[in-house]
Amino acid sequence: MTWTLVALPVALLLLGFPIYVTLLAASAVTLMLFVDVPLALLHQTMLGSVDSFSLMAIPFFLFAGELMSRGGISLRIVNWVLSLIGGVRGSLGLTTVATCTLFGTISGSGPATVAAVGRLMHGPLRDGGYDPRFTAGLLVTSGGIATLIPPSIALILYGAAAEQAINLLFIAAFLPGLLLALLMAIYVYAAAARRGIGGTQPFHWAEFRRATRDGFWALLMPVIILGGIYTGVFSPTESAGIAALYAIVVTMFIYRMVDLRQLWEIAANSMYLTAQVFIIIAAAGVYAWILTVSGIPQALVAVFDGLDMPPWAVLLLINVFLLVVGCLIDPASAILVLTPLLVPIAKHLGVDPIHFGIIMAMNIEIGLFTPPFGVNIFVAQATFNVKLRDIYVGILPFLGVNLVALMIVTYWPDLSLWLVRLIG
Amino acid sequence: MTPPTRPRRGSFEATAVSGVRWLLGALILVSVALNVASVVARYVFMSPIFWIEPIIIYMMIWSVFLGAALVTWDDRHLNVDIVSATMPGPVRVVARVAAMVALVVTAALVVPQSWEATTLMIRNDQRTAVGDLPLAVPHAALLVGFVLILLAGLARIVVLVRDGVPPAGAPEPPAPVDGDPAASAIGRAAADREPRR
Repeated sequence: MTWTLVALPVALLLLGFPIYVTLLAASAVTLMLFVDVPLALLHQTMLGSVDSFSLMAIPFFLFAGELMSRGGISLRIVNWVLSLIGGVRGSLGLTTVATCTLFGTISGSGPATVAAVGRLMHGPLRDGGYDPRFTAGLLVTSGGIATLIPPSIALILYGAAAEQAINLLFIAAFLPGLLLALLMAIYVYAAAARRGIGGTQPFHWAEFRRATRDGFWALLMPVIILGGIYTGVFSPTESAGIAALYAIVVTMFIYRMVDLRQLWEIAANSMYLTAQVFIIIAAAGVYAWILTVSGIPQALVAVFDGLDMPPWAVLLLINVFLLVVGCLIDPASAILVLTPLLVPIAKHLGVDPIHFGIIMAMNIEIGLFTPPFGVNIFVAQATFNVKLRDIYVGILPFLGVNLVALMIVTYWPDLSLWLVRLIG
Repeated sequence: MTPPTRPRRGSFEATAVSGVRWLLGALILVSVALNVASVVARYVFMSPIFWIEPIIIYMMIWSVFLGAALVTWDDRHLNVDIVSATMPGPVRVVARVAAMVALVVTAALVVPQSWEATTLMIRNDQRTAVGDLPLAVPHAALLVGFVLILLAGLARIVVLVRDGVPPAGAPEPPAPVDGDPAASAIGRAAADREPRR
């Protein structure tokens, strides 16, 4: 059975078959040859996999994120952050990191953040004295913060696949997300100091008040989304729906940058993207069910047991594996296929599944910008028209910063779990 | 990746594709409205509306499987093209046709199961415990979705055999991974700049 569940899908993936077809074909062949279960399982399990109210947060967040990207919200966040820290050395670089973090609290998608913030910051960073490599590396990797910082689409998918509470995952990701942003900011500050790059504009209360007034509706958005989830007033899905409505009101009626035709187009695009991911969720549900009944996760646990490695070494091995997978396969598929395999191992090692979710999301976040195939790289290339070689070289120091953050998050579980215990 | 054919304005294909796109937009906008209505009813009127949650799920299920048919029509399903992008032209055509055949075969496997499940729900008039909604509705989404996927896959095979695939050197647009509308829009724009066969 192993060849139909492991070798066959790997071969089909390498041949470029659609991921959902690969999973469905492998599952169907296994069902017909090895498992005495009617094919009706295909239909029932696919429906059951997408029949979840928690997953509905994904299309709502996608919709809200795209509306905000096109509706002037990211521009106002940039202006507000710059008015606050413009006088600090390396302020443009620091503004990029802070804006990506703030945008991440709204959009939940790394590539969307690279596109939205990158469009605004690429020119000013180059004009501000940052070389093309540093600029590209900073924009590509800062966008990754959004993949980890709540509300994160990666964490919603992990929560669905591992049957963990999504609001607890969001709470757990908060401090690791801030740690990553802080480490990135420290590196940017040091790099600016080394290059002799100063601030852009000294802090003035009048300017800060103006930027705050102008960006008030944009800045209120993270407060509504995260405040609603963390206080337990809204479920993540309800919060996503409120965010979408709020984005419609702000971008159409307050900033007046989106008209009705664009609204419909954005809505249809969001559902199109949702369909691309959810059809994989449906097929992955069938594949995960067959994996579980075939005992492959348990066999993997036994293999790791047999290796007689200490838990820290197994976690290191898992991190390396996820980093490699993360730069080859898209995040949604990687999470959906690997979660049923890796969570039993993590549990066996005594790793809390909530903490393990943060580790997985962080690996996937790094995979998004790891050469040669990270998606953020191609988004940046298409958006800024930068040479691929410059992006690859520029990413390297930031990759180092992210790996340091990953090690801290992996081996310091309290960083993820402390807030969960406090308010979860 | 381009649609299998550029449907003539006003043709049946063009009307069907734009109709499905319009419907997808409408379904998410109505879902947002219902979601907010549910929160308002709970906190403002202290009277939760229980049937809203299954309705939203039903609409999303329909959106997903109709959207998947549209994605098949556009040949934009997410895939890993690390190896296939390096294949010589004729091998790439064979691999792409094989992928589409597999897509059609898997859809053909699902359709009879979905038909059976949907008709069973209708015959037994099975309904949800909350809201008393007919269970045939979400089951039918898979039936309709996979029938459309099957048809779109067949159309795609015809086009692949007739026109082949773009040369290996031509960069494919970045897959809209991690749910990224901006990336997909950029990818489409980048793809549109590339010469096509």
